[in-house]
Amino acid sequence: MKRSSISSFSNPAVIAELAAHLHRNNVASIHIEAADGELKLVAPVGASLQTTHRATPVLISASQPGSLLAKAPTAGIFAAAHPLRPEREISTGSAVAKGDIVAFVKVGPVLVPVIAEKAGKVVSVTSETGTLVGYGTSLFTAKT
Amino acid sequence: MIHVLGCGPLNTIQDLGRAGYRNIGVTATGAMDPIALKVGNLLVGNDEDAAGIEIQTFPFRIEFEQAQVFALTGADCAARLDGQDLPPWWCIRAEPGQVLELSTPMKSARAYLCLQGGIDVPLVMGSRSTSLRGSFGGHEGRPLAVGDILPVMAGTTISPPVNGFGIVPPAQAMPNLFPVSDTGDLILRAIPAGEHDLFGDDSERFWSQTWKITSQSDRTGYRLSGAPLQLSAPVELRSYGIIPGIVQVPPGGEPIIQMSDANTAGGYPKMAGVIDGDLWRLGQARIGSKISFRQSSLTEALAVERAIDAYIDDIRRTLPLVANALVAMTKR
Amino acid sequence: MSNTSLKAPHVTPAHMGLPKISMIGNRSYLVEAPGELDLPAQRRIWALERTLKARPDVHELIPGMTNLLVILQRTAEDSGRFQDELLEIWQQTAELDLLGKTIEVPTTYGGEHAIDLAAICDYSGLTDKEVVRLHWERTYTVFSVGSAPGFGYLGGLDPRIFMPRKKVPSLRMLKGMVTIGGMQSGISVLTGPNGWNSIGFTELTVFDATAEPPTLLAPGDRVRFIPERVEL
Repeated sequence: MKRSSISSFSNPAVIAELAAHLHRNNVASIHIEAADGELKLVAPVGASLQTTHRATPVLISASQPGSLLAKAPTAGIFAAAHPLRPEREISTGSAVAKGDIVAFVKVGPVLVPVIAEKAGKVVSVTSETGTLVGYGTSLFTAKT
Repeated sequence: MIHVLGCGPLNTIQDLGRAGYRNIGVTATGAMDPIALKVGNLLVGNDEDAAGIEIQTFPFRIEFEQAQVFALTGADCAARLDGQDLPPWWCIRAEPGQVLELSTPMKSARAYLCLQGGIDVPLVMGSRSTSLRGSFGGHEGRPLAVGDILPVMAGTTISPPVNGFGIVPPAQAMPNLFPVSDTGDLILRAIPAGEHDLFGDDSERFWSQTWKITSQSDRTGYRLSGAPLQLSAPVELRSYGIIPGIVQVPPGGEPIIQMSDANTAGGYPKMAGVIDGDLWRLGQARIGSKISFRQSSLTEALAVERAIDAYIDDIRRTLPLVANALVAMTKR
Repeated sequence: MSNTSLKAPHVTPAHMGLPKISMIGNRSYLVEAPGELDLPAQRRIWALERTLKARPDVHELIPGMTNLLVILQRTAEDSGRFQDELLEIWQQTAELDLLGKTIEVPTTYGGEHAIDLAAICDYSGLTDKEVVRLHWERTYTVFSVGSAPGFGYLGGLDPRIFMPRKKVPSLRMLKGMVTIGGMQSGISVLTGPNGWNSIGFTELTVFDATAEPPTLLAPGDRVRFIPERVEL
C-alpha cells in the first residue's frame, strides 16, 4: 500500500477505518510505507476488543540507549511540549516520575498524553516535534 | 454536584448567552471567550452551548462530590487535581472527594470549567448565563461564593483516558490567523462604524495609536486610555442597539469597547466594531495590557469566521473518534 | 409582543427619503430612519422589524429610537447586496401602527426621590407644580424597550419640560424613579448609575425575568402617569 505522504494517514477517521478493516479480516497488522515515513497498525488477532489479549508494542526505531520509558498512545504527530507551555519540554537529562505526562501525540486538534511507564532519567527522545509516530512507537528511553 | 471551596469575586455561570431578548433591554451576557467555552463543552461531550463556570478571579477551588468528567479551557491557571498538575485545555475524570485548584494565570484573563452534562441551573429566557446587572440567571442571579453547591446534569457521552486528553488552543492551532504586534500587543481587527468619519483626523489616530485597557474594565466593557479623540463637530445621536465589540467614544474622548454584559442600547458616537472572530481574544485581554486596532474588511472577517468554524467542526468530528479509539486500545 | 394588535397599514409618501445604513462589526447593520424623531418614523422602524423577523438569515433585531439594528446569523457573503435589499424593503414597507395596551403608572411626584426637579425648574423657568402637571397631562407612547431590562423609551414629552441628560450620571438612582432624558421620559428599572433626571417615583414593576412576557411595556403601548401624591 503506497501513498505520496504518510501525513494523509494521520487523520483519525482513516486510522479508525483501517483498524476496523484489520479487525474484520482478522489481520494482525498493517505496515504502510510512504516516501516520507511509515505507519504500523497492530490489531488483536482473532479476539474481540473486549478481551484482555495484549498487542506487542511496535518499536520502529531500534538500538536506543536505556530502556523504554514512554511510547506513543496512538498514531499521530509528536509534540514534545504543550503548545501553551513550550518551556516545559521534557528532554535528555530530565527526571520523570511514573505516570507523568512527558509529551503529547496530536491527532488532528486533539492532544493525547504520552505517559511515563516508570520513573527514571531520560537518556533519549526519539522523535522530534512535528513528526508522525505510529501507535506503540518508543518515544522516550530512560535509565532507572 | 460540585462544592465551591475557594472563590474570588465575580466568577459566574455562563453559557453562550441570552440571545434574542436585547429588543426588550435584556443584556445577552454569555462567556467572554466563547471559543474556550465551546471547546470545553465539546471536550466533555456536551452541546457547545452548555453552561460552565467563567473564572476571572483566583485562586479558585472546588471539590467534586461524585465522579465527574470535566474540562478546563481558556487561560492556563496551572490547574492541580489533588495536587497533580493538569495541562491547560484539558479534560479528565475526577473521583469523588478530589479537589481542583486554579491559580492566577500568567497570561490571559479567564478560564472556563465545563462539567460533563452541564451545570444544572434553571433556564431563564432560554439561557443559564448569569445576568449580574439584572440579578437573574446562573446561580441565584449572582456570582459564585464559597460554600455554593452546584448540581450537574447527567451525561456520559465521552470517556477521556485515565490521564485525560486535550485540545490545541485556537491561537496555537491557527497561528497565522490571529495577529499580535512585534511587542506582543494584541491587534484587534475592526470595521469603521457610523460616526467614524465625523472624527476627522482623529479617526486616523484611533487606528495608529496604542491603547491601554484600564482598570475600569469588566464584563460590561473595557475603558481604554490614550490620547483622547474628538468629533470635528458635536453630534446628537438617537439611542441605538448595542452589541459586544462596538467601540464608542464618550465625550471624554477615550474609547469604550462594549463586552458581553453591555447595555442593549446607548447613544455615544461609534467609531468602529471589532470583528466577531477577535472578540474572544479581547475577552482574554488583561487589565493593563495594550491593544491596537487594525482596519479590517468583511472579506477578512468572513475568512476568520470560517476558519474558527472549521476549527470547532474539526474538534467536534475528531474528538469522539479519538476517545473511542483510545478506549478500544486500553481494553486490549 | 403578543399584546399588540395591528391596524391597517397606510402608504407613506415616498418623499420621506431613504434611511442611512452603517455597520457595527461584520454582521450588524444599523438602519436609521430619515427625518424627525417622531411616531411616523418609529412606525416605519416597527414595520421594517416585522418584515425582517421572518428572514432565516436574521439572528436578532434591536429597535432603537427611529432606528433598527439588524444582526445577521453570519457575515453576509455580499454585504452590498444585503444593504440594497434593506433599502428595497424599506421602500416597500408602509408604516406599522402598533396599537398596544394603555398602562397607568401610579406616581408620587416630588418628595425625596425627585432629586432633579429643582434643576428642571431652573432650566425651564417653570414652577415645580407646572413641571409636574405638564408631565402627567401627556399620554406617552413606548417607542422602544431597551438599555436595561424592560426599560421603555417614552416619546411624547411636552417640549417645555425638555431636560438634557446629565453629563455626569448620578451614581445611585433608584429602581422606580420617574425620569426625563432629553425629549424622552422613562421609569428606571435598575438601581445604579443613571444620567436621566428624576421628578418622581412609582412602585410599579416593569420587568420580571420569570414572567412571560418578562416586560410590562411593549413598543406601541400608551403610558399615562397618574399623580397619586404630589409632595411639593
